[in-house]
Amino acid sequence: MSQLIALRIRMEVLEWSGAWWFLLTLVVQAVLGPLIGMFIWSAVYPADSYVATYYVALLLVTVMTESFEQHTFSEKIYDGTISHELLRPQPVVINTIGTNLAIRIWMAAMGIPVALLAGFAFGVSLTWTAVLSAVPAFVLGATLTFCWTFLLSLTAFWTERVHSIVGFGWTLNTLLGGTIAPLAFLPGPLRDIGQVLPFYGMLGLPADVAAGRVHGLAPVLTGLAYQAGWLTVIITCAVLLWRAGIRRYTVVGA
Amino acid sequence: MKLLRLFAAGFTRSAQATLTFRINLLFDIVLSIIGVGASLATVFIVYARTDSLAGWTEAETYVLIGTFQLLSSLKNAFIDPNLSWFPENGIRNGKLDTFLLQPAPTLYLASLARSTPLSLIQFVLGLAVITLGITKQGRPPAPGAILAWILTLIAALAVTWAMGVLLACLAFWAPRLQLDVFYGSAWELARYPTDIYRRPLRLVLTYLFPLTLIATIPTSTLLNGPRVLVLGPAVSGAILSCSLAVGCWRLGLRRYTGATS
Amino acid sequence: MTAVVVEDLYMTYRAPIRGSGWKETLSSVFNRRYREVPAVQNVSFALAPGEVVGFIGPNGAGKTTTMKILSGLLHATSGHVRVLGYSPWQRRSDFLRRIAFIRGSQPVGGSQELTVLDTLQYQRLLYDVPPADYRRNLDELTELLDLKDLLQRQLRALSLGEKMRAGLALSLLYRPEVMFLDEPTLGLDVTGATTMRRFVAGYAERAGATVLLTSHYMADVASLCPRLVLIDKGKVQYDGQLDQLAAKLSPYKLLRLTAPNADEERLKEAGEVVEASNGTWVLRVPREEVARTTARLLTELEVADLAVEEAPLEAVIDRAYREGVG
Repeated sequence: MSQLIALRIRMEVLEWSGAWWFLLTLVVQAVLGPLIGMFIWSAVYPADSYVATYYVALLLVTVMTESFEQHTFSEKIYDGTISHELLRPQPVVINTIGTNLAIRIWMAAMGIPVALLAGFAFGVSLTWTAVLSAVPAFVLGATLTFCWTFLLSLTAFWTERVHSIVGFGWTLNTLLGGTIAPLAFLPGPLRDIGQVLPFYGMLGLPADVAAGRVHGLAPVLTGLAYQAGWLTVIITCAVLLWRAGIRRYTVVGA
Repeated sequence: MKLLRLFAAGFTRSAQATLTFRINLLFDIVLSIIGVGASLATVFIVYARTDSLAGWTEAETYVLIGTFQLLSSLKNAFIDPNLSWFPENGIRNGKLDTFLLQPAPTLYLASLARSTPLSLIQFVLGLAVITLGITKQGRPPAPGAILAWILTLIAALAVTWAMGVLLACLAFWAPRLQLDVFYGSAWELARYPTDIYRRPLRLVLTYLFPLTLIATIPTSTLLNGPRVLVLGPAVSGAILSCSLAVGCWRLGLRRYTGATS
Repeated sequence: MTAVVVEDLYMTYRAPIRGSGWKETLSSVFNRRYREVPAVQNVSFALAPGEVVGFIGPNGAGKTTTMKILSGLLHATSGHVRVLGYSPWQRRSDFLRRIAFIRGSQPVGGSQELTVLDTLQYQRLLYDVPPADYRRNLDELTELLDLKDLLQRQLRALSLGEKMRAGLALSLLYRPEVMFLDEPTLGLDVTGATTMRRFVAGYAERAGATVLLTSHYMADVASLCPRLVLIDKGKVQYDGQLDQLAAKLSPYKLLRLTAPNADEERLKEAGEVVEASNGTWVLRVPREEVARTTARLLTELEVADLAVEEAPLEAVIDRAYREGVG
């Protein structure tokens, strides 16, 4: 299975290399939210170096975990090409994962220079130890983002408006995941809710750990536990939704 | 006159088409409300921490957000459905050829003929947000300020159209360049007072790529009353950018039809 | 009076030369070099009002370029072009209202979300068709093109054949006097292509319209166009009657004979064997020897059936494309 994914990634990385201009536009869109957040909160707290450090880390996390299953997967349902994939002797999700990782590799390659530039402009210093300690949270967060977007994209079996649904998910993500404001800046009750919901685990938690904001092991472990919990829930939902969707697809036809 | 009739016909047809898909309509209304809600939530979160964002109070920022909604809605309704992805749709898929052969000005057909009336929901929401901001501030603007505000909005809309046309014109010389998305992204920068951006970027946004005009200038005009020093350049800038757009479009068409050589 | 006049038409595209390596790419940014690509060279022809003419040639011969020049989409590099007395490249409204350019590859432009009827009504405003004419033309087109079931449907939901019918209706609503049809039967099935041909012929006759038609399907040309203009590598190779072209290009006829006991060696002496199956043979025989060969075969062999045929148009045209018109 991992071999299949690796093969798929290789293919997709090569295939996307021709579309570098398009990928660049995706990077610009991804980078925008964190940059605006950085400008806003730098205007509010001009002296606090945490703001810029957090947002540079968030920018990296955002660029490296972008997911576009509403395009790469749902469109296959809409135009019926998913039928070809259903006939292959491998789970359909493998291709989706391969495409996802290939796009992320390209976006990381293009996004890291932007992050460096922003970091340089705002005088940010990320420490290696903090960045390395963020790796577990980052990996779980990246998986969580993929599973969440994929879950929303599965609604394409029932509605034509999958882009709006994913857009709604994205709004929740920027609001509660830490893009509009670092979770710590949210008003009390909203912060508590944000801590529990999966969105913080997708973006804010890895960025906070990398920015050196999370002190001690206990809060990191709590965060990882939330991530793992949500991952289980979302994957279960995705599997159920996939089964129901395929049943509907094969009954109704394309 | 004929253009107005054509425009009205296109708009009515699109509106009718929209109304036939009730579920989609409902969906889009709900999403627009959520979108505005998210913007408001941002302002709420910021002002829970501070009283002033780069010199703007909470009430003022609500008016700004509302104004941004108004212009975004007009852009989405009347400009984007025509000019978005112009290199792809217009040139490579041959839509421009269709327009060139129709007996009406090609620039009108390519940049204004189609519309998505549904996006005007945002317009209503924007007005509501502005009202909210003004009520919160407790100081209703004078009629003169309102007139000047409308003038700046028209200027902003004209500049938005001109920038869209200029971007589309690039496709005549570099058909592979797809700058739309960048324009859309940059547009988002206007959602907040441009005073929050640091100096080089702020100068670019004021003079070179005038996003300040989208929300910041109209809002301060509405709240603080008209200032000749702002209105004059805004209006003349709009006229200038529109003439530039028309000129570039003509040059581009001449190149497209091979009349240059 | 002529409807379309083309004299000494030249069209040359300038294509930038791009190097392969990084270095060359960079240097080409500052110092662009161009290659001149001739698309149309010294083309001249004229169409009389009401004439239906086939405009044929292999891919890349310059057909579409010529049509784009005639309809006003391209500005010719040099030469004299008049369509209904106008210079097409000026694209004046009253000129555009009198012509139609229909491409089989893009039968309908504009918004795909609207219904056919909406688009027709929009077209009425755009082309200033008086309401009375609109109703009459619409009724007629609905009848002839069998549009009744299509009117309320969205353009994007139509099949290719339906799109082509809708595209024709959109263009003929304002009754153009000159029509340029570029591959109108592209991708249509047999029924669709036949409907299309019958309709174009009918319209040209009723409205007295001038039609210039390109097609890769010789059936289109053979059934619609008494006259042919054959263009290749940007130059006119032949301009005249269809049957004369066949005679000129194909100095052979085909003899189809059924002779179960014939010996292949004997037949080979009479002419080139093109086909052979189950005692039926097809021989290619020079025109002037058809009579003599037929007589000889009939006396020498036990012939059950014999027919003399013209070479199929497809083969003739293929020869013209490959070898040129001698």
